[in-house]
Amino acid sequence: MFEDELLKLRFKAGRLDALQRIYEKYRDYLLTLAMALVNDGATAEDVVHDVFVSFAQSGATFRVHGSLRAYLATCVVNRVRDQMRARKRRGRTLDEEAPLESDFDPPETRILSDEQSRLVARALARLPDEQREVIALHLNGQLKLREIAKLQNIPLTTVRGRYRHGIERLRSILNGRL
Amino acid sequence: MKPAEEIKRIVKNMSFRAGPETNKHLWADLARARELRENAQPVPDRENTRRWSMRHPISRLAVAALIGVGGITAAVVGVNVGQYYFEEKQADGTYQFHSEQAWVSGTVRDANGVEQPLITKRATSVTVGPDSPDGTLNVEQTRKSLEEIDRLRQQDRRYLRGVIETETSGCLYRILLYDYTLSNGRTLCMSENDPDQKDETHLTTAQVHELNQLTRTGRGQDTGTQEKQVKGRLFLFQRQRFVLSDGTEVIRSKGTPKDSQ
Repeated sequence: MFEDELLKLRFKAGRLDALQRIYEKYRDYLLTLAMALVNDGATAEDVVHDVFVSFAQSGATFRVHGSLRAYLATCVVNRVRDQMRARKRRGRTLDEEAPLESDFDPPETRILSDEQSRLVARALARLPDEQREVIALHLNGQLKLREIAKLQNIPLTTVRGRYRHGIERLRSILNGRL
Repeated sequence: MKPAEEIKRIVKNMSFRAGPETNKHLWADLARARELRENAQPVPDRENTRRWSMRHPISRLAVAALIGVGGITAAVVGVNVGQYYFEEKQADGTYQFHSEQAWVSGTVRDANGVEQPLITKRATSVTVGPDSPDGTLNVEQTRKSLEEIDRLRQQDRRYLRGVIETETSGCLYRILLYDYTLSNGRTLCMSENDPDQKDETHLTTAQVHELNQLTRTGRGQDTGTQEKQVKGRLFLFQRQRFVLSDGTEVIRSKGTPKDSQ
């Protein structure tokens, strides 16, 4: 936490080493969050790319009073929502009916993970958007439910409900698969 | 069935890492983006903006400049951004925001020959469409976005992605469509009048609505394409001819950058 405050100040002062440290510290965290939200390597990579590039360009105008991690996670969620809207406009959504066990996963060199993580990402893709977002932000993004409620501008009870229903649904989807 | 706690643990342990190739590309783009900012490039590089596709229904920016003489003596240095205020939700479901700025732009001599500061005031009115399916808008977030957009506009950190021209009775009215990339990662599109274009639209509000409706329903007659330089860049315009119910003939052209095609 203290390190993040220092990083924020150094980044605002234009220090390249601060940008590099932020990038190294949060790259995989954001990639995992993006994968949990979109279950698509190319899209997740695009999202993280855009968030970091935009962040790097913000420079002196950058102002974050809270946690840097929560700020970056919020940026990822915003980008993912944009991507989802674009997909829907093009008539594509997350592949809800794709098989959980897939023999067609290409050998990944761009994004590395284990089979269990891929399976969980595919299971998350079967959840409704709002449940997936709450679960990903809470469990992968490590945001508190209260923070998520504020971010999504919805009551805390709604967030709790989405989280509970999402977990129940995941239990049923992953039943016997792990 | 696995208990809920076990499911939570499994999701929490999910892990994806950037491979060497991704890592290399990401960092290269990041360093390049920072370099662009440091060198104060006026327009973001196209390669870095191509994937930013989110559109926000912000439209119709009207800027009015007023000049007066008064007693403010403070000098304004650098970027000058005023606060935006939410005014009202209009009958058509759009939201109206307003901003006023004043700064010393020079000096003038009064009737007694005494030098007085010349104050320039600018009033900006922005109309924003709802951003959620239930027809509402996050007013506070939009207000902040508008202030950030103002900063980006003054630094010319934006991308001209389209031009719309309306020709009627020999007058040409031009609207510029700019993409602004905000610090939260969103790219918003804002349209504004071309300040270099002196003509104003001669169409009434009712005629503009009718024209928009005809455009949406594709009732124009294609009259070909035309290449034209706008703001130092080559645009390819698709021209369409419309005839309004009162017989007014309008040529509407939509231009996209030729280098993006």
